[in-house]
Amino acid sequence: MKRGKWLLAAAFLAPAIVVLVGLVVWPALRTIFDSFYGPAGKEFVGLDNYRDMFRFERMRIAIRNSFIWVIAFPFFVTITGLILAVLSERVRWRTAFRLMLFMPAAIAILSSGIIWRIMYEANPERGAVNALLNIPASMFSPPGDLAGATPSTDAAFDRDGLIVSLDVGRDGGTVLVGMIGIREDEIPESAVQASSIADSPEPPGAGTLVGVVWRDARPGENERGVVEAGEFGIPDVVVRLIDAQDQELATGVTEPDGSFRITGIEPGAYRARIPASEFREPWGGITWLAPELATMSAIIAGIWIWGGFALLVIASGLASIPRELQEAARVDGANEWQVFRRVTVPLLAPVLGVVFVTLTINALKMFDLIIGIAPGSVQDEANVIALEMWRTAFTGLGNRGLGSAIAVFLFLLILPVMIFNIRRFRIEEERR
Amino acid sequence: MKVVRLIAFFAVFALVGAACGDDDTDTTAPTGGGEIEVVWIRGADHPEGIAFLEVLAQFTAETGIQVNYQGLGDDLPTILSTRVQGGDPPDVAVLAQPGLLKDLVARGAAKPVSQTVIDGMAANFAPVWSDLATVDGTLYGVYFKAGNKSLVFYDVQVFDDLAITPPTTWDEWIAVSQTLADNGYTALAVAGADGWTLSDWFENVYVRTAGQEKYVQLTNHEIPWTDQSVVDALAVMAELVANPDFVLGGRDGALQTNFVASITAVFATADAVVVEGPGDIAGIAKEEAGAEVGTDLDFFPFPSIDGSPPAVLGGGDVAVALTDNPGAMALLEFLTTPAAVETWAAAGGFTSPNQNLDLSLYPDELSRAVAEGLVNAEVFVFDLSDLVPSAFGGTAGAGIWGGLQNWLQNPDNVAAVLAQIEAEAEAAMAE
Repeated sequence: MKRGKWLLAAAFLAPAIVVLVGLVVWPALRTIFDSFYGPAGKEFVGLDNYRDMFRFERMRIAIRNSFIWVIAFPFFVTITGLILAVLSERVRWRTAFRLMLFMPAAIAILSSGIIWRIMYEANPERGAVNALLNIPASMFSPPGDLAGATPSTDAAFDRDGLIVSLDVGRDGGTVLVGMIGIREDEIPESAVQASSIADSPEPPGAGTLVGVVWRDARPGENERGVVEAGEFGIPDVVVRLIDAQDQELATGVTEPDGSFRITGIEPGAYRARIPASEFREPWGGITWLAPELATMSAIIAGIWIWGGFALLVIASGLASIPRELQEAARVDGANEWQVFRRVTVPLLAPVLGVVFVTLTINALKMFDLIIGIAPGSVQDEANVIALEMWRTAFTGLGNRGLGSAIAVFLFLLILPVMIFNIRRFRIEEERR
Repeated sequence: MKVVRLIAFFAVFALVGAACGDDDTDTTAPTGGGEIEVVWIRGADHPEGIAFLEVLAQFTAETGIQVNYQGLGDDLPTILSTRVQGGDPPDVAVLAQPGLLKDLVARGAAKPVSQTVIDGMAANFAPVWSDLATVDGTLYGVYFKAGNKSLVFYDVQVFDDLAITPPTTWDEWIAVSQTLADNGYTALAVAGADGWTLSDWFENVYVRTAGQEKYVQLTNHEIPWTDQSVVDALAVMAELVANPDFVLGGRDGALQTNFVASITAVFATADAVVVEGPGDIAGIAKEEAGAEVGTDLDFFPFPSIDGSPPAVLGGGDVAVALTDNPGAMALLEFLTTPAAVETWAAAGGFTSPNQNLDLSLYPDELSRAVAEGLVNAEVFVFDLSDLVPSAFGGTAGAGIWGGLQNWLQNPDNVAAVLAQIEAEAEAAMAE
């Protein structure tokens, strides 16, 4: 080659080489180099970092989670993409539909993580996911009137509700059931000042039990277990009288002043029960980002983000499949499932492979989604290798050596997938 | 080859240039009143930056010294340390991290203040403020701005409805929380998803149960985190923070709640009644929920525990001279005077520890009370987690933050949690 030509070629290649060496090759080599050194990159420690990294609980959790990601994420995203692609083939507004599903992919992943973190909020009033689930939950087990209440008088909860022991004498008996932990605006509008009937010096009369169920709280000073001015009765509470054999004898319902009256009972020891349904709490929602669920929840968010990408790639693959093959199968009497399973999927295999491999690499280097989605207190439990690399190298004590070793480890994990990808790429090139 | 070299040269230049930043923008000409370069975190378009520029403009008007102001953002420590290393420090740096001041002194970059500054500090500030800027017996800077993290905010409506008076002691606070719980309210929102809110809680409790001396010792790691005083403080803290009857969502719920969510839970959705934290809460509550100080939102100082003296946990901004440029010391002298910050105080969003600043200048009750707390505090301690290496005191999921989150997850496990924190403290302090 002539000198001038060589120069020209070099001039054209130089920017690319400078960028490649400066931003890829050099940092990569430096990372490998650093991985043999201590935290500050000063003393040589040999392979210690590669041994040490598996000793940390955090790293072990990260490896486990990355494994879960690699198994679950590419599989579910590809399946989702495939199903959506095949179904959207038949939709009239196909392009609009696909565009909509692809939109999450256009959002920065960190932002997607934050969006999902909000959607996953446990409180159904705030988290969209739980708000949706709350609809059936509140339909099948509506919260009781006494949700959240606890007794302020002598009583205990068992499986069936609140149990109060009482005695009925020859002149009848009285019972007080005070409730705390309910807001004033949570008791029905009809409630009035709690009845003082149980404090009356006059006995209720033979065979009669009177009682009061009331909200034992009021603004300012307040004595527990005593009906005071400003304390309200709780209306419409069902009180069941049961005997020692747990047989229900009679039922009373409280008046607006919280009082109830049951007549026709023999003297003796009884128990009164307020059924558990009165105390049923409103559904509190699932804590999606709790330590045990965070990885699963993050993968679901991942499906939302990458499902559109998978859909688009698979749909373009679908468009290039010759229609005749599917038609021929149909003519031969194959049903739609058989056409899909035996014709469409095998023809799509190369495209599915591309999607699957791309997603596997994405799963291994998952990072920004986790940072966005996991609350600070759950970062240890939702950890993945790439995140642990960053946390080790750049946060806390900033152990550069160990962080570099984790980076090399991650690279080694991705390497086989890359080689597989490149080889398949070559084979396809040759086929053309 | 020329082309290649040229390109390589430019590439290297671009990299080096990016790393160094602007280093030759100011050539201080000592003509007239001279010129100084001042750096702080706030950008010149940030509300606080704008307010500070007004202070600097007043300084220029009085002394004739021109000021070249740079707002460096959160990267200030990095940029500053690079510039000091490169032998081109700004004349005055305003630092929010006391650790950075120590670091600059250790590197010989900070200049001791003049006698006028020492006198100005003595005349206008409680001794604690000089102590905070003193390293090895020499005063290096002026704390002209401070924040108060010993505040507890509450929903006024609920307190009024239940005729609750704000507690002044810890036991009263527990009684108030019980009253709230009896009446069906959730007493407290705790932002456990952010570790720093838990460390603020802990520091507020610790300075009251263990006292300032122990607090300083713990900060300097002269006593271990496994010390009985820490165990005791956590036991006290657990009475409120780890009490599922009082805390929104219980302990698990607290660990999922971040700082802003803890504020909206009180002032927007009314899920809880009380939230502890820095003065910023009032601003966030207003922005997120339109809560007005006085009618919707009010606050009380973090209550005393077992008769502890009024204590304030907080942070502050210290101005330090890094060159011998006489203008630098002139600015520090100016900042010790109450006149320097009068306009800023009146504009709001600012509190000064200067005790000769007229409290009536503050635009609202909140900032006045915050300032009063600062000026009158018998004990003022810096946020411990700001004083220790950030690896230990400022990293999500690690050190103090992560440790306290683990504690909140399982408060019975104090010994194991503290052993873990102590191990991380040792590693971080050894650096």
